[in-house]
Amino acid sequence: MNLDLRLNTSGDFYSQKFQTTKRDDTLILNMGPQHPSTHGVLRVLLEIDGEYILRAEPVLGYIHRMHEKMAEVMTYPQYLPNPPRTDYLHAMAWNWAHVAAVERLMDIQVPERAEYLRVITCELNRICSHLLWWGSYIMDLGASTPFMYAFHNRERIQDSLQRITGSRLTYCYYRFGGVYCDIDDKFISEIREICNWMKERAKMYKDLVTDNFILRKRVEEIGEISLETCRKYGATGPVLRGSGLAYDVRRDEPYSVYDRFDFNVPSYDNCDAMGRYLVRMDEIQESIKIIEQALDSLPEGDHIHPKAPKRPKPPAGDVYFALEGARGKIGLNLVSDGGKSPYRIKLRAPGFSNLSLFAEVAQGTMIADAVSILGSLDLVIPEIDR
Amino acid sequence: MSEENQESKPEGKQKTASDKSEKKEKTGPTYTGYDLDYFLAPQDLLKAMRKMDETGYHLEDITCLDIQEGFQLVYHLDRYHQPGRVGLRVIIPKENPKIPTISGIFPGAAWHERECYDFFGIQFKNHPNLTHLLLDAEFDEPPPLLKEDSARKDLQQICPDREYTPISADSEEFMQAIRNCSKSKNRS
Repeated sequence: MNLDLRLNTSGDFYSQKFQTTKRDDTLILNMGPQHPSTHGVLRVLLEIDGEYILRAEPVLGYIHRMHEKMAEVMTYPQYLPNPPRTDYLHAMAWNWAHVAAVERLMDIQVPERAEYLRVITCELNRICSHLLWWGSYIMDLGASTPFMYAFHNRERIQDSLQRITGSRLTYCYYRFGGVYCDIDDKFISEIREICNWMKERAKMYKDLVTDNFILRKRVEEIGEISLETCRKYGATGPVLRGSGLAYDVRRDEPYSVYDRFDFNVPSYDNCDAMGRYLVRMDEIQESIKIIEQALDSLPEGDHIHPKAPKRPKPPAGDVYFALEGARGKIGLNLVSDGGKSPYRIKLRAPGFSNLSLFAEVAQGTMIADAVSILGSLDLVIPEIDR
Repeated sequence: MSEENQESKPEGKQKTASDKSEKKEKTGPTYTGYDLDYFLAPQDLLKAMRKMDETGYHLEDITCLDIQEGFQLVYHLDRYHQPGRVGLRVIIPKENPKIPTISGIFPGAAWHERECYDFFGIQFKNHPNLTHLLLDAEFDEPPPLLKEDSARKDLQQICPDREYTPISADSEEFMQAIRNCSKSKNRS
């Protein structure tokens, strides 16, 4: 065994491949996979000239679990808990994408009440996701107090969701044809209270963080992404809306009962990290609006279709279902051959497309700004690696 | 899902009715999520993608399917301003699967193509960096998503509602269809 590690400076496959360059006065720097600002196990190779980034290349796959292969060897109900585990921060949305794709292929009618329950829980989960992003992004930029506020806020939502769904993070609440169980009056009053409380908190968040001079120095005019770059890379979600285009699958490709609610799609044309920051802060308020409307008009009825199949066996076919997750457009392409397990499931992770533009955007920025840009993309690595 | 599906049915049908006969509607779902769905000949791919780029589409993802006819690559595209999903399908032979890269047109495709290389071993010609993306760099076993011979189905078995009739990327019909493609918005 060779214990003399000092001599091995050639790096691994990726850094060797990355090193091919004409200049000899630059430095190759490995950021991650254990860097705290990459939130999980993302590795970024950087070629730097002093503090400036000349080239950046994300290296993926450190938390790859082959969810798409698992789909092919499991039956439909067995695969239910898998999609929520790709994006653990907005698990409801992935859970929804899976059941809705199967429902679309089988033409299962979802009861109205179940659609409302899905909207309420999915939006609550979106708020949780944005709150966690907010807390950890601010922490990346050097402030640790807002993190505590965000988690306090998030904790209350999770406590309520836990009573109904049975979990706090990787929810598996939706079933083919409805949801796992109905909500009760206690849940409704709790959520109403939380919504009111969060509207109050929004003012504090704005005074404490959004208007903060130090934060603004770190996010304004940092990481500008043009609309054309967004399109070329297929970016969606707050990244796209922060570049000035109000595209939201909930409104532009309406699914479930979203077309019955009155909500805005916030967009800012600053194109910088501040734009993406403001979009998410506004979206929390829009989600609260949707939840309150849904609670006001919650219809009576079943929470799951009485004849919903426990072990679905969809007919042969190829369907695509897209929905708006906290990070952008989630897509699930389900191909069935009529068997008990899918022939192929393809998961479109919004973070995957959003991260792919990083290499272009990071060019010429400083390392500290790259941290800010990475954070503003709201990356969840398990979702990107799948 | 229920109501919207029924209402979007006539809309989705209209778009695809031109090149497809009516009988498939019985077997398939009322709305598949695709507003347009075309097969292309592999040599037409780049031309078609350039047209998609000009008409303002963005690439959602690239799905690969292992079927008896070969590998079916499905390029999913959508538009921000006039939403409507287009599926462009290309079938390439099983032995030595090769297809030109579209990363010159949509740079975001580079990663999706590397993913197809990971899972199916598809070779993308002129790709800037065709190395493993999600799998280990030194992974040299057979691609993990290949089907076993006994489990491999043919096109009719997995997509009974679609027929293999490639459309020419130069045709006026294709141009008209992608220009006018849109999602039904009048859902209650």
